[in-house]
Amino acid sequence: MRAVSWLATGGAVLAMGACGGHDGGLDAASARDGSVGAAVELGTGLEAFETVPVRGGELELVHGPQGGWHVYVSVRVRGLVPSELVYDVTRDDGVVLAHVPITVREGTFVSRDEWLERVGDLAIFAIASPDEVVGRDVHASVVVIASDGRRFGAALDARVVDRTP
Amino acid sequence: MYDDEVRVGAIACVVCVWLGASVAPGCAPSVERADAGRRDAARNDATLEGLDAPGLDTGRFVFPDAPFPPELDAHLDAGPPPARCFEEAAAEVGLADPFGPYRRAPDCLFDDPAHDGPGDHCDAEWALAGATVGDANGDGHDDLFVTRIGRAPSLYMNDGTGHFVDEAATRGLSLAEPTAASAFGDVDGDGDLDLYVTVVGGMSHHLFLNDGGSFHDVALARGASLTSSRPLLGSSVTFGDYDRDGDLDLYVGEWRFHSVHDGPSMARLLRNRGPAMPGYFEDVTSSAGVSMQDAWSGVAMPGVYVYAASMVDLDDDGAIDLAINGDFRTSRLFFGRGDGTFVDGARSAGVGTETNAMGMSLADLDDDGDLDWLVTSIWMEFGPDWGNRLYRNEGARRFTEVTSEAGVLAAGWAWGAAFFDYDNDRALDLAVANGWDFAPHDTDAMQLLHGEGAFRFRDVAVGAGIDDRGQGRGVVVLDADADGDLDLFVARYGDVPRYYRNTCGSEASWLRVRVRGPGGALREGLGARVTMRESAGAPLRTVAIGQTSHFLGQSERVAHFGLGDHAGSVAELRVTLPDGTSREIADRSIDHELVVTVP
Repeated sequence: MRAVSWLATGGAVLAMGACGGHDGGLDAASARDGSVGAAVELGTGLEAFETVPVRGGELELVHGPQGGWHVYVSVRVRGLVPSELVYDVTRDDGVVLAHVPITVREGTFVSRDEWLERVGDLAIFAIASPDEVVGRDVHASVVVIASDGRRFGAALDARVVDRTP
Repeated sequence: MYDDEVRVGAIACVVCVWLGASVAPGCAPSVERADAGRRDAARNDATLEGLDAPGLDTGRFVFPDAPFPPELDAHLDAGPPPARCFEEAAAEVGLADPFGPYRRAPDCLFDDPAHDGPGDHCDAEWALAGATVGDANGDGHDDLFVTRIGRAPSLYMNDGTGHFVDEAATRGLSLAEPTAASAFGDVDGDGDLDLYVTVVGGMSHHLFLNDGGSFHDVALARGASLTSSRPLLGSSVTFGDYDRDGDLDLYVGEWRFHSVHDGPSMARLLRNRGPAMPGYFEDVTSSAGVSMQDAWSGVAMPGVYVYAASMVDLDDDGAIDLAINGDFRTSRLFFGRGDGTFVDGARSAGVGTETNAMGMSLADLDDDGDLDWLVTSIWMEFGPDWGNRLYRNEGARRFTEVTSEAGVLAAGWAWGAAFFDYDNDRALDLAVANGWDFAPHDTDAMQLLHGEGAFRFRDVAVGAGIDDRGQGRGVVVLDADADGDLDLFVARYGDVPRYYRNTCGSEASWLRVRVRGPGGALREGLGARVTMRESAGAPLRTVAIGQTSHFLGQSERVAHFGLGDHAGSVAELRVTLPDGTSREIADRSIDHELVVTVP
């Protein structure tokens, strides 16, 4: 865990991200191919979208300045108009760490390289101590509800790490 | 005034032209291929069930051509220099007593280095410092009660000229424990103002009955103490008559991590038991449907995170609603059904999108008769959804967010706020206190946003004489020196407060209306609305008494109208009571404070 630093957030946030689950049959490369249609990619990052492997990546635990512990989650989409988001993070033993439904406000998805990106949401964990998650594997997912009601999703497995000096 | 009006909401439909232009051609949506999370599809579908509840609207928002911050600075900097209207005078008027020590780890109240590490719970107290306005001794002058940590609270009695003497000790308000919030209200219907005070670290909140200007605590005996075997972490408290029986009910907030303790939520709605037992309370939180016990489940961080609340009729249906500002995306808007129960309509109303709701102020900014809602929150440079919210009330339980275009998004680490017309130019202005012990917000500036038309503001704080980079928290307004313009009191964590005396507002015309009933909810006109039309053809302006500020305290309960260069009398003046009865006021002269007595 680290206390979030205003001046050093970019360098401190560990890159991670993912697109789709392997079991779902869509890998990261095909998800980024516009020809396949709508796509959703789950990642991290605070100042910019950062990808991580679908498996084996890391999520850095951050101590929120107004309390609590969180990881940054980011999402980017193409071929759809996002209206609602739901982030979920579940620990390897099935304990739900975060469930974050979000109504998408105007301007919070920005266009970048043929994607619409939303960067730096907080998935605040249901924990009383960082010991409950540091070093543990988690399953993170995002469901994106399009303005026409269709649902899309992406997921990844990662390990929660504490990079506090 | 509202009986003959029907307002129909007009929410923008979603037509995402911008998206269509920015997504590559040939990118037709494909559920099958894009459903990359199908491995976990069942769970995700289950997750979504809650979002499919009736009232959830998708795609309410129009996407702009650019993300929101770019034009903000220019927007805020534009315009002529403001008049220097305020002078800091806390010491001169007797309000400069310190808050108490600025605690840091490992000395915070709830620090437990053995368990969580030092500083992990400084948050609970760093949010505090409040004040509330009320005429404690019935002499016609508004007094000021100030809560503190590390020092006893003060009851500053106003001599009528805007000078104050702390008489808390001699009036029965000596409290050794840390205090968080307070509110005045006549709970027993005897015509004087009683006082509710929430504590932090103590085991009971306090309800002080007023007996001839002296106070004694009856909270425990009257069912209002919320006594707990574990420390209470009270936040804002608000009075209102949600069941419309004429007496004052009470909502008590709480902000607490479960890691401090994991007991049941102490954010409670307390019903005044009414004529048979005035000033006695029963807890109706669950039966009324306003429990915040599980509100944390939205973010999955155990705790209760109510920072501020208001009992107010936001949908103009005659039933009181309960608007709750919650930290960590836990805000709620409970619409009253009129039978003493509520239903949460935040999502369908389009509110509650802020990440960390803290302070609030409610006012009719566009003269359409309903109340628009400002919510303060945290502003960060990176990440979505940071910043304050200004929700325009469209009627029919719908709101449209107008934050960015109004220029109120990025205040800082924002706390107490208050709409008020400091220069009496007719347009409501906005004061917002900022600051947090976290760079760069440790030097956040207090904002004074000058109203420049409906939903358009410009920060003029420094030019207007408000140059504060302290840890501002509670903000209240009052006309302390009875000169027709509104003064500003800012409680600051770990520091002496600021009192900004208004020196220019009285150069313009004004009219102030107090609504006075014999006791109970109408003792100070809570729930009443005052409407005023300056001249034929001018907008009909509305003030809902008691809605100016709600973070850890309350402002004066007066309908204050700035009238600019208007001369003579106003064309229309009317008081409408919560029961819908309405009365034209014959005395429409200006530049004075009018007291309207109601049954």
